Amino acid sequence: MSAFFALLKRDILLSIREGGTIGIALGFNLIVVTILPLGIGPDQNLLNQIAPGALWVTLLLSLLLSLDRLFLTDYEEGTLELMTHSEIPLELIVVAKALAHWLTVAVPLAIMAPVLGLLMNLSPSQFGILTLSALIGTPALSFLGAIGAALTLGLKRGGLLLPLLILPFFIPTLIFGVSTTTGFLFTSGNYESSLALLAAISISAIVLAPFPTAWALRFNL
Amino acid sequence: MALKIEEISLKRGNRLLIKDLNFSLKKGESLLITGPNGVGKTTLIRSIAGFIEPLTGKITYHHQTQTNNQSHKPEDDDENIREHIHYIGHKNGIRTSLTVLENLEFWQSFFGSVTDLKKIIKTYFLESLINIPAGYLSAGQKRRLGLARLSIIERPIWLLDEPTVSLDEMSAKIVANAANDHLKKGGILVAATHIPLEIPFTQHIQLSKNIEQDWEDII
Repeated sequence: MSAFFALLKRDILLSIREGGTIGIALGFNLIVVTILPLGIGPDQNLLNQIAPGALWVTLLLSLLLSLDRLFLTDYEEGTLELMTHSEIPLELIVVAKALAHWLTVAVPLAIMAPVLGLLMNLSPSQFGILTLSALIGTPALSFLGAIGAALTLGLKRGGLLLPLLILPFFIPTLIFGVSTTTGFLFTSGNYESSLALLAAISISAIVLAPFPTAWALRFNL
Repeated sequence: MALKIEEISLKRGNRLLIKDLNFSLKKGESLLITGPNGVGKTTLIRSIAGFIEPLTGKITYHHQTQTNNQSHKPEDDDENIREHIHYIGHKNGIRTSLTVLENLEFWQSFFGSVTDLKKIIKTYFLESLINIPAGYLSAGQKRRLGLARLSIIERPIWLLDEPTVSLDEMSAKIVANAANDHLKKGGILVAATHIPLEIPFTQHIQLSKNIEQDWEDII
């Protein structure tokens, strides 16, 4: 297991050191949410109503931007193939890398979501539930995204194909993420079931996604 | 301990590069693979490393553990070979935004080794570079850093694909010394190179291009 934690630690360090992935994801999210009200107009009621959906969609897209880097640099620099020469299976290496991605990209995005909510006139009572649902829902995005990142690894412009491949699989998380956030406010108290489903999707993704990801990586090495 | 290659055929894309190749290496034995560009040296080494499935034939490795260990461990299947391999390929396997020391420390903790890094840094002449991001190193220095991995953890099979590329004479000597040490300790070495190495190879395979005509028979 020392290999698992060594890799997790290294990937977090790299993500902070290289800066690009977190910075671009957060910056992209900020800019999209900033221009959305400009496009829609100053109707505060309307903004408030679409806020949960808009914030979730921009979160998905921002996260998607960083996914193509998940295995790419390790692939290009030859470290990925060397990692297969260890005692831990490739599936666990995938888990470590996807987990590092979640910690360094999804968690900051989830924490930033309420701040952006201000721009969308999201009611402050929803701030907590928005962050909570994002934290619970995003592991599915990092782990499902890993499948796409692994599949498009050998391709020249794989980064462009990745969203087409993987966005459809983000839909369940989007639906239950939004219904958690809206359910909390509009249909009072009826959000637990959505939250539970969100958690179920994430747990399934964490458990199942590493297998196809590792398969795709083996194929591409 | 023995590495056995039996009747393997390898292809890259649609071209059959190697047909029915056999060799076996025992403790302390080494193999030099030579041949013109594009003849399949890298493909052969990568197939032993487990990155390419051979078309036919099989690659096996029997690892006899020391006598005082449990003797009937099934340690000789294909899956297992990966954990016994050091592979030096065309890519150096270093992350350019980590410093030299961080790269070495990562491989050390990733492979669960307890080797003294200071000694390795000295052997591979990396002392003055340890705090520099690997991306700023010259091609030869990067290669040296990549090769330093060989000494981080002891593994019985070394697969070196053009190990001395972009190295100066001094550095090439370091590699040769490390390899000779490895062989003395009973390791196995497979190397593909154009540049003569100061290693007394026990076997030599010269690959040639003459099998291209009959590739259609197989595919």
